[in-house]
Amino acid sequence: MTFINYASREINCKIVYYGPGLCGKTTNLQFIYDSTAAQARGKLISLATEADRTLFFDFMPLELGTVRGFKTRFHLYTVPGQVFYEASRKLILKGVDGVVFVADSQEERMDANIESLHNLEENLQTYGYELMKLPYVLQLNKRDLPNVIATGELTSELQRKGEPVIEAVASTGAGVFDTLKAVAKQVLTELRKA
Amino acid sequence: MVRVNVTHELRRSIYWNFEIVRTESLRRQSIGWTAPPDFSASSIQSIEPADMPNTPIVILEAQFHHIKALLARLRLDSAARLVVLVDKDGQQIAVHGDLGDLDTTSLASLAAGNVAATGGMAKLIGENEFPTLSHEGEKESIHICVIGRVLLLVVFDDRSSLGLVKLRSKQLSHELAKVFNAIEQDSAAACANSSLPFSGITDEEIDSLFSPA
Repeated sequence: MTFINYASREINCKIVYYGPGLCGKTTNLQFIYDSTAAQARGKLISLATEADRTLFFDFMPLELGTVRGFKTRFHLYTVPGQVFYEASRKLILKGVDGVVFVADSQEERMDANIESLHNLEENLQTYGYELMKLPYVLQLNKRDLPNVIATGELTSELQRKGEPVIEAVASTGAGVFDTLKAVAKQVLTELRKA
Repeated sequence: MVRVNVTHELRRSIYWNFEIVRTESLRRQSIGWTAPPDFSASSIQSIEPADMPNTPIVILEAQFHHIKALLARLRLDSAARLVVLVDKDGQQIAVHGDLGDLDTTSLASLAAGNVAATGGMAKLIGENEFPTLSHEGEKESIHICVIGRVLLLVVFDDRSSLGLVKLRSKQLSHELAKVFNAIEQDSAAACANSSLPFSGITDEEIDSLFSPA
């Protein structure tokens, strides 16, 4: 849910990184946090288990700059990817303005990608959102690993509506900012239509 | 525990009364009688708002200053350290009080997550939501009051008490609910009239955000 405050001249939007367990959602946020100037970002909050798996969500506010006198701030969230955190995963989607689906390119994770994507569509529907109408980017992560599926095959399996597809290696940062930029642009473009 | 039951009963009672009025209203409409304005859809929304579609929420300067004034009053009346108003999605709307180096953006996000999680638990046990949450620490404590689509969060220490904070928060909640009903209506109108600040934004302006300065 975009928030526009005329008094503080701010526009706040919410972007959620979604995907199966261990696909690299938190790694995306961690790289953005590490690579952004301190004045442009807030703290990276991670609600994680002792084994460093996301328990509830990761959160990070990021300021992109000013448009028409309004500061544009994006609140970046990740969901817990593990299947049994379904209840909390759904909560994070409330009020979302844009979604990044982080797919794990490894062959053995294909079923998990498909299951997670269906889960995303279902959970969005519970809030009255439709994936087909929402700003959305598909990120094909872990492209550096040896056992990855070809991008064409992954795209034909996971792409839903002609959304931007970005290859990434979140651990090194490759494709991370391209993904963020692609989804943020769509969110701002949606605001123009509002 | 008693608190939750009483609130639940109260809410049931409100709905029950509303159902009676609505049924009576429909009966009267059928004989050419108009329902009294007190029971319009908007007054019911302030009690239990439906999930809003993804329409931007626009807060105008006058509304923001009104909210800030209400928060200032609550802070004074409850002898609190800090009062924060947060959207249920985790966006901080306004803050008043002794911030120090407190990261209120993170606080807002975590408060929303907290309310969402306890709301999920409430649904599992057959409740709609828990309208208030309190966390008591050794020195500082937090009280959160759910008001429709916003959360009123009060940080206080031993200069105040949970009872006082709860009382004052509840007293203010009706006024805040009214303000947010107005904000939601104005936001919907602004979207319908395409009068948002980004309505005429160009591709170049969007691109400029992502270009190195």
